[in-house]
Amino acid sequence: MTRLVIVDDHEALRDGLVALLRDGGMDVVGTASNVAGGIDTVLRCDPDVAIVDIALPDGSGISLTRQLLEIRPDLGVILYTGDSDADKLVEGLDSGARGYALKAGSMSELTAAIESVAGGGSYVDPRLDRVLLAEPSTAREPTLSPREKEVINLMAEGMTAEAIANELRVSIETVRTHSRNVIRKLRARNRVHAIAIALQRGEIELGAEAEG
Amino acid sequence: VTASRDESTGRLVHDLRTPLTLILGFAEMLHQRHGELSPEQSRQNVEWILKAARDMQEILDRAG
Repeated sequence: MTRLVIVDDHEALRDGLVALLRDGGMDVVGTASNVAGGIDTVLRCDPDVAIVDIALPDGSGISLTRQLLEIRPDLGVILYTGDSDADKLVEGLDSGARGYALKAGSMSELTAAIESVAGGGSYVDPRLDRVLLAEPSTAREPTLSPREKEVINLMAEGMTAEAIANELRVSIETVRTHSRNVIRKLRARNRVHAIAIALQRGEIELGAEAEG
Repeated sequence: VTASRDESTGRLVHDLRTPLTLILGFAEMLHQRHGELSPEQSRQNVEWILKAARDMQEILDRAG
């Protein structure tokens, strides 16, 4: 059974979603109303998937997603919002969230999103297709997080995943997840290709540390 | 002025979406599982719908 955490500042929505999702066979293991509570709940409850509202009182759900994935790179995050704004959608997907569901969607759509993300896949509400298609492909380039830049920089210096994990004091799996995210964001074919693109885009500089 | 109006309309839409999501969710459950739910479960679902509808009314009253 999929273990879920819900982060939304609207109490009635949280409680209602818990009832609806439990009825749909999901195991809701925790809820939170803000960014700080979201981090605490995910650490405490160890869910497979977190449903995160974009607008939270003490910060954005997108920023929370980045923080959660730093701590738990394997966590499936679904951004859950009433907003179909193109900028937020692109920023949300860049944050590493694997799902983007609209509150306008039905409960069966949300359940499908959870199942897809829990199974390692991704989900974007079909109503957002027109938003994504309207975006010129060259208009935006996904930005790498500071941690992803650090990882790709160390890879460019020839370090292995194990050595990077030791250097950054994280697990090898975390390094591998960052590496996969970098490859995906840069639309690279493999690690070497990702390093080449990152250098070309100026995301990293070889020998920068040695000179500094 | 236009930006401020856009912002308040956006906020209103966001606030209305939340109870609407619940109304749709619980109504969907009642519709799809009509024969399976106990009378108590059905009553609880209707209560959720009523509460969410009242929330919507309150939001609209405040906006108007």
